[in-house]
Order: sequence, then C-alpha cells, then structure tokens
Amino acid sequence: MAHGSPMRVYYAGLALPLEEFLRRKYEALERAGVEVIIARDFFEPLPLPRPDVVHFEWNGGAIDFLERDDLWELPTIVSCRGTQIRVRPHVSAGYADQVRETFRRATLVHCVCETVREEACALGLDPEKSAVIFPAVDVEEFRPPARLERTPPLKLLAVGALIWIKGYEVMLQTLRLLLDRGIDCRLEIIGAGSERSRILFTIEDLGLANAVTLRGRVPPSMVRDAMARSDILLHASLSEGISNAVLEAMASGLPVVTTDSGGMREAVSDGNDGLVVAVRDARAGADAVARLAHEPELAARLAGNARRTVESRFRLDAQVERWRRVYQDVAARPRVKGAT
Amino acid sequence: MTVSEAVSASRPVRLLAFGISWPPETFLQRKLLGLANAGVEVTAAVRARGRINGDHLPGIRVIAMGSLTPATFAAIARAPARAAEAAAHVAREGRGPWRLRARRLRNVAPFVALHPDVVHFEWNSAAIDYLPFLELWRAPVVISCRGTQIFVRPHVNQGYADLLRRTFEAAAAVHCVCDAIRDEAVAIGLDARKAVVIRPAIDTREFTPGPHAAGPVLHLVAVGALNWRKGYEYALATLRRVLHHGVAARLSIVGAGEELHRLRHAIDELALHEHVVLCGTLAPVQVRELLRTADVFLHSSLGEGISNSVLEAMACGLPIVTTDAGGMREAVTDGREGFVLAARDVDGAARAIERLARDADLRRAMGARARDTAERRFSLQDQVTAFKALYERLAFSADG
Repeated sequence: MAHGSPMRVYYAGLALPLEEFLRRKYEALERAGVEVIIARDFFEPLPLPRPDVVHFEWNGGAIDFLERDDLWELPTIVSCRGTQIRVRPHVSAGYADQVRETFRRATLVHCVCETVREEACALGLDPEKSAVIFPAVDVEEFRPPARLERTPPLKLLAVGALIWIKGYEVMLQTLRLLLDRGIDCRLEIIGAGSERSRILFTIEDLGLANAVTLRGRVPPSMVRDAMARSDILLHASLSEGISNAVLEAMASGLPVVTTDSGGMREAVSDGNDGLVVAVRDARAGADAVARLAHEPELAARLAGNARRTVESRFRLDAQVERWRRVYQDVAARPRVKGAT
Repeated sequence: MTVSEAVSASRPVRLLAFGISWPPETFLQRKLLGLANAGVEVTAAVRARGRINGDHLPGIRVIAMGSLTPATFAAIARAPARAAEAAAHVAREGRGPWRLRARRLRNVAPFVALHPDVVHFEWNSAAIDYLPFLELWRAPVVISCRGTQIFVRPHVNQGYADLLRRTFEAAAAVHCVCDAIRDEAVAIGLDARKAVVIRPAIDTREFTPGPHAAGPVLHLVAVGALNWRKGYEYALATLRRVLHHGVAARLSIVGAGEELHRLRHAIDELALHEHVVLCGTLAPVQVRELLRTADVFLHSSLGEGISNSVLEAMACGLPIVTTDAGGMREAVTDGREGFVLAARDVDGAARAIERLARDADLRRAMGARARDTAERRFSLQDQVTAFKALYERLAFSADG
C-alpha cells in the first residue's frame, strides 16, 4: 500500500518519560512516515493543523482527558493494555463507568490481546469498535546471543516493575523451592517500584540474600545484556495483557516460564515456545524451571520456537505497518453523530 | 550528669510516655490507664495537632506535640536552660533536613519543664526521631521494640539498624514484647542485660467468650491493618483451598489500609466474593462482638511481635490458626490453643481449618485453653505490675 498524505497522530495522557516500548514504537512510526506529537499536559491546546487522530495509549489517560471535548471531536483511539482493564474495574468503584464512557466516545478501541478484548467487551465495549493489535519487539535489536557454554549456577531473570501485580512474592518462593531441591540457581530482578520493601523482607525471610540481586531500573542496553547472560526468564504476573519483557526474552532466545495470566497464552503456548504455569503456584513454577534445568534440549527447542513465534507474530515492523493503516482508516471514517 | 531531685519510693513514679498516636492504640490505652490506676503519675506526649478531642485517657495528663501554644512558651520560660540545651542538641546531632529538626524541637518544647523519673518511647521510630533529646530530661529512657520496626525495617531500610543501635546505647532499658523480638534486637546489637521482656496484655473482663453458635458455615475472622506484613493474600488462598476441599467457610477481615486493591483483586481472581467480607475499620465494641460470635481466628502475618488481635481472640475463647511469625509461638502452642504453621504455608493452614471445621469439640477445647492462656499469661494486671516495677527500679538506680 502506497503512503498517502503524512498522518499526524496526537498522543495524549502519556506519562513521561516514555516507557521503552512506546519510545520504540514512536521511533518506528516516524520512520514509516507518521508524525508523532506527544501531548505535554492536559492544558496544551491542540496543535495546528489539527491532528488526524488522537490516540490515548492508556485507559487512565483517556479518562483523565474526558473533559477535553476538542480532542474527542477528532477521530480517537483508546488502548486497553492490561491492568487498567483487568484489575482496576474490579477494585475501584466508579472506574468501570468512566472506562465505559471512553469506549462510547472513542472511534476505535485497541486491545493488546484477545483476553483484554473479551474483558473490555464484558465491561460494555461494542466488539465492532474493537481491534486487537499485539505488542511487538524489534527483532533486530533483541537477538539470540552467540550462545556461551552454560555453566552453573542456573541464571534466572525477571524484568518488570516491583508492583504487586507482578507476583514477585510467589517467584521468590519458587526460588526457595528450587534451592531446597538442590538446584544451584540465582535470580536477577530488573525493575523498580513500591513493592521493594516487601520483596527485600521476603528475600531475608526466605534466606535468599545470596541468591537474589535487585538491579533496580536500568537502561535498555543493560536489559539486553541481562537477557544475553541469563538462562531462563521468569514471569510471575497475577494479571497482564501480554508482557513486553516476555516477548523481548523470546526474541532473545531465552526460554520462558510464565504464569497463565491475561493474554500470556496468546504469546506462549505451553510446551511449544515456553512453559505456562498457574498463577500463585510456586511449586508449579519450580517444577517448570527444574524441567528446563534438567532437559537442556527442551530449553533449546522452546527458545528456538519462541524466537520464530516473535518473528512471525510480534515483530515491530509489522505492528507499525498495521498501526499506520489503522490510523488512516480511523482518520477517514465518518464521525458517528452523537458520539461526543 | 547530675540528678536534680532524689526519688523515693514513697512518692509516685513520674512517667513521660512519649510519641503516642492519637487516639492511642487500644493496647496503649489499656497499659497507660492501668499504670495510672496503679499509682503511676503518667504524662502522655501525643502526636496530635492543636486540640485533643475525645477522652481516651481519663485521669492522665495528655499534652499534644506539634503545636505551639501559650503552654509551650510557658514551659520554655520555666526551663530556659533546658530549652537552649535542646536547641543545641538539635543543631549538633539532629537528623534530616533543618525544617524537620525544627519541627522536632518544637514538638519537645512543651515538655522541657517536666521532671519525669522515666521517659518511655513506645516505638523505636519515635526514639530514633528524638535521639538528640534522649538526654534532655536527665532521666532514664525506656524504648519499646514491638514488631515490624525490629523484624522488618532493618532488612529493608539501609542505615536503620545503625540508628536502632544508637538508641539502644542511649536507653537505660529496652522493653521487648516477646522473646523473639528480644533475640532479634540482641542480634542487631542490643546489650542483652538491658532487655526486659514484658508481653502485651489483654483485659480479660472486657473480652469474654461468646456463644460461638456454630452454624453450618464455619466463620473465620481476621483482624489487622491491610498491609503486606499481615499476609492477607495467604489467608485468602487458604480460604480458597478450604472451599475447594468442600468445607463450607466464610472469612471476615477487619481493618483498612493500602493493600485494599490487591486484596480485592485476589478475592476476584480466587472467586471468593460470596465468601469474604472486607469489614473495613470497626469500633472496638463491634470487633469484640465479631470475635464473640466467630468460630476460628485466622492470623496469616509474615512479621509480627505478638499480635494484640490474637490475644483478644484468645480471651474471647476462639481457637487460633496462626503463622509462627515473630513471637506468636509464645502465645499459641501448636495443638493447644490452636495450630501454628510456617508463614506462607497455605496447605498447612487449610488442613488446620478443615480439622477445626469438622470437630466442634476440638474448637471448644482449644478455645477454652486459649481463654485460659490469655487469663494466666497475658493479664493486664501482670503487665502493669511489671512495668511499674521496671520504672521504679530505673528511678531508684538513677538516684544512685
């Protein structure tokens, strides 16, 4: 498809600095000829000429901007990513009504996976208005390293904010079980957040001080390095859309053990391109890691399949092309009367 | 150090209890009122701004920290030398930004003219915040170690252990609520000779066994702030397991706090809507009535001294299912007053609850023993006597 006139997309309700996956996506969109304009704050007037599309990357951002009628008069897209659809409506009163209002006013609602779409539809989203576009990875940036000889201890890696939704408490119990079974392993955790105190206490309480390293927040290049030197990526989320960290690990040729949370199964099929275990089940997590530790051929097969899965279904260039077409399509759609 | 005034046993000991929240926690109210009834002259320095509403400590002199009133200036005028000394202390040894130091100086100002025999910091954190003032009163200082501030903070807060050690050095005695806390404090650096274990206490006339009318659904109750140290997610997972095994049970959780969203999510995820009630904060009398009618008390704490809620439940004749966090084993013996499991042991807790669910006689027997233990080992009278003796000993030894 030939490029039409250049698209101007206005991104509102973002937290700055940009999250890594958004920064990568915007850079790729600009390379593909989309003009990316990021709203600085709620009070910033619409740039001129007026954007073709207004995109709220988070439900929370869309809700924050509900009062800005001038934005909603344009073609609008609201993204549903995970927690804001799968957790918040159940835990905070009134939130679901606000989400429904953004659904009603949006031209299109983007969901990061089928699971999130189903949840959003259960909340009242018209399925006709929805589109699933998976998150994506730059498969050139994340590549399997020239594999070094694997030497003990087994190096486990986790990447994700230190917040309760990520299930670190269960992951630490998994590590304790593995050590108790005589499997020599270490866990490196990359991320920062409000659960740090609890995690430090649990590390101490379970006698894991020598087995866990908390790296805090690190630049993307260090995440890539950590993936290159690790043996297994652990993902213990209680709730999720599709985890970017898991996709990056899959692209990096790292075998993945993930919980069956949110849309994770849409990226990882158990026994094919990773291992999937029940949420909150430390024992199942330990069993899965032990299997990979004892069966290196299995680990290698899963990692190889995982790389192919990302190459075929989660690649950034394909995602960006999809977004470019969605923006064109949404911009060209006649506005439904009374939608604002 | 000179002692300005001789202390004799013939007059009441003057106690300054410093850094009390307002309204005070129920267990502190009980202790301070008990001491006042036993003839100790108590002044409570409470963390409240301006006017103090509510009559939580009848018969006790209550002075608010945190606001400059005419009484503050009167106190400074009565003891200008001490006020100057305090200011110099802040300048020399204070921690944190100057605004914070100035606020602390203002907070102690109303108390500079007092001549207490003993100053008691009921929380480690208060002792740390007011470290530069520990010598201000030229009276022996007692510091209480209660739980989280010993079991959790030193591990998660760099530098906290050093501050604890400095307060331990400055203190004449360090009160620990259980042996487990004492051992932990000694491991951090407390001189064991300074440690005094006085367990928490319960008014067993106020908390009495109720009907515990066993219905077809076992009623579990848990009480305590909704923070991660209480381990409520494990209580929910335990309930899920119990229901999964076909045992009818429901859980009431009393308390408020920052984990509310996380717990609501867990309730949702574990499909427990119809089996769990989040009661929020209840008045003490409502808590008591709940304890008097429930069947089992479930305590899933990860880090704890001895839980006052568990003691209240024991006094109400409830069998206890608890983790072995901190000093809980000093209150509950596995198989006697209930069951003691390792922290995070969901399977074990579920098995214990299922046993109690099936066996009403066992519930009654364990509940009766719990009541008996509360009466014998956690009586308010014993606690008050022990504190009074401690204060008198320190006052006398200060007399030299």
